[in-house]
Amino acid sequence: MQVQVYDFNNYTSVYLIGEIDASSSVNVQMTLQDLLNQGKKNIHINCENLEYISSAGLGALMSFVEEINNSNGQMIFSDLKPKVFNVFQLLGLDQIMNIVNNHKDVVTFFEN
Amino acid sequence: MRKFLRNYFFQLLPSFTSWLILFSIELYQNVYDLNRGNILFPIPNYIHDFFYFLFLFFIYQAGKYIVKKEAKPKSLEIIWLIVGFGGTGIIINALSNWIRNIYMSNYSSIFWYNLDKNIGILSNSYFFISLLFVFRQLILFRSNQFKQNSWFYLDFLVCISFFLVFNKYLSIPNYLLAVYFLVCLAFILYLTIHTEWVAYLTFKEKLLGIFFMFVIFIIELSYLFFVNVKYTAGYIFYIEEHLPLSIVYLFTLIYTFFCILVLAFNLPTSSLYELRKLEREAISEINRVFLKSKFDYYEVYQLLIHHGILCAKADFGWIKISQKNEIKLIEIKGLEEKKAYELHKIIEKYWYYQKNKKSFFVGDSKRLSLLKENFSEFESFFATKISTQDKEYGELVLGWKYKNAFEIELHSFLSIICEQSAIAIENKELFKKSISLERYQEQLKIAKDFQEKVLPKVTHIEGFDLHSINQEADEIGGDYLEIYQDEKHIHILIADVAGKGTTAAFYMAELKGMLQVLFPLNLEPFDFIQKLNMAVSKCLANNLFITVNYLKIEKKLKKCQFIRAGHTPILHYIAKENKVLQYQPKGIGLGIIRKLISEKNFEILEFHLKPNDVILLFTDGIIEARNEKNEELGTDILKDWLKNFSSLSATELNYSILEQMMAFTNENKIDDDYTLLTLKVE
Repeated sequence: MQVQVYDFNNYTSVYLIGEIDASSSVNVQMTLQDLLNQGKKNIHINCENLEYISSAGLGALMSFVEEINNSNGQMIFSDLKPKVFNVFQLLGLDQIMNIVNNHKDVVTFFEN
Repeated sequence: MRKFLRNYFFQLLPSFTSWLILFSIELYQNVYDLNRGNILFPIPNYIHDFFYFLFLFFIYQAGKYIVKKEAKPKSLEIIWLIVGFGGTGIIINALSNWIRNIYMSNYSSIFWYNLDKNIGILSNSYFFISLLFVFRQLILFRSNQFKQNSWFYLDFLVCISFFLVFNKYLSIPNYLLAVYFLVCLAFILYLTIHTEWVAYLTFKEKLLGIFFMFVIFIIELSYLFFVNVKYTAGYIFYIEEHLPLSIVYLFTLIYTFFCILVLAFNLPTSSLYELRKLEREAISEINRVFLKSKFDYYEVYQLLIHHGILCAKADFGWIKISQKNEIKLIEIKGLEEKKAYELHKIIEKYWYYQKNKKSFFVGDSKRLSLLKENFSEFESFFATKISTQDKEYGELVLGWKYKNAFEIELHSFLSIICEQSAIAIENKELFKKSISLERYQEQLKIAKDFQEKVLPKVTHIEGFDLHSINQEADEIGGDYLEIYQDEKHIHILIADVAGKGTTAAFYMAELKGMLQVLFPLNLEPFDFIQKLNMAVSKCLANNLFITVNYLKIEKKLKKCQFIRAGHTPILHYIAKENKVLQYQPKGIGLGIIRKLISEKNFEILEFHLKPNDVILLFTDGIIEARNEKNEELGTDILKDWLKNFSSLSATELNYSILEQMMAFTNENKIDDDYTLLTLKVE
């Protein structure tokens, strides 16, 4: 599992690559926490290459969503693979997270 | 001495008694001789000789018995006794004879003559015969059948020699006697060469042995030269009188002389024996540490370096402990710490060239280009790893101030104790691990017992055929099932608690508690979920959530309300239309929104149940089971199965689905817990 971070003008993109299980979810959480500590409030998670996410990984993500909402930040997910999207939907995460199909829409999202 | 006499009184009694009788007879006879014609009863000579024979015979038996009882092969106590008792007697006898020969031409009284002679006989016989048996013990040290047989024959020959007491009556021809003596000599010589016991003595013991043997040898010689200088009866009488003891005497004389030589020549080899002894002690001491239930690694290393240096006669040494990045040396002996570290760096480099060898030795360190002028004391060194097959614990390094200090034999000893230490350390670590594993399993068992009490059994509900299967992936599962009935309603709740192991069990317990409060309140589905969410959010750890399916059935009209909090959908087989519907209303898992949830987050699905309808509730363990191609089972396949098995009873339906699932996964391991609840309307 790899996490790649790219900084753009008014947001930061985090690429999640591979599978997130219990152990790698810690890595993800730490990365996101770092970004928040650096004061970056607009975070985009690109799931183009995210194959699978376990319940531990989901837990990590969703607790982070709450945190970023509490610090007046914004978080958006893009390019979710159908399987992963299904999982999100099943859990109802799509009700609390911003999800777009294409990362091109992310730019527009953060401009608002 | 007193104790000795006390213990063996009854053994010594017969011989002593015989001797007393012998003495008295001789006295009596001599009186008779002097006062011819005035004695009433002459005692025939053969009676006197008979008692002499008995005397020798009884000593022989006593000697055999006593020495067997007393002597351990290396015990010198018995020799003290023999030297003390017998030797003193002989020396006194010898001296008295010598003095008398100088100062007196004749014996002043018959009595003294007899006393002198018979004391001589007593002490000589005791001395030589007991010496014989002591030597017997030594010779038979590590005996074999052949040696024991030989000794048996010698025994026999010695007993024959006692019969030579009666030689004057038997008049055995001289040539026969000569043959007899030669045969005895042959046996004596054969038995004499067995001095294996010498190898088992230390240097000091060998010296003591030489001293004792020498003293005994002197006594024996004195017997030859001093004791029997003059007897009135002449030379023939002299031989005859000492014929019975001659074999014994010959044997002891030859053996003593031989032992002195052997001991003297074996003095240099003591060092080897002592070294072996040291090595044995080292191994057993190290063993003793391991057998203690609690030992410190450092105790082991201390022993290793101590015994290593002792047995190798090394000038310095240390132990390196394997640590991740740095070199740590402990128990440095014979060298300053700084120098030891410097030297070790060089040894580390040298290890590189050893490839996979476990130990190496350098006889001349000057030939190594690695060691320069700084380390002039370090002429030869030896290093060996302290490791088992799996893990390396450290190294033992020994150094000498002279070249080629190392012997090959020492190598095997050092390797043995290092391996021994490594195995013991490994055993200790494994033991520690197994203890903590045991504790963990115990905790797991407690949680499992607890969980069994928490989960419901299959209950019967009027008007329904109900069956559930609940299988954990590990010892403790995360799936939960609750069925609650009151007057008008049936509440069915299936849940997937996040986390595994003991945490899941405890969350389940908390969930059960909450449900026991909420179910009787008969809330509307959303209300129920909202309250449940608040309660769950408060108790769950940060990253965890619980998915829940709640089905509320009104008994009379079989009207159902279904709310789905993030859980897998439920399937409804409609008997009339022979089709399966999948209900997946909008919902969000519990603990995801950690505050009051709003109605817009949930959809409540309502439907009616008709006779022969089937409701299937499950957890994601079923849906996400994978086959060999790594494809998930999915709800579609499950729907087909439900349709196919719809006519079966709830129990049969469950097991059929399970069978199909097993066939699908084809013995692939099912990683997750799975639960299946079938509700069939009768």
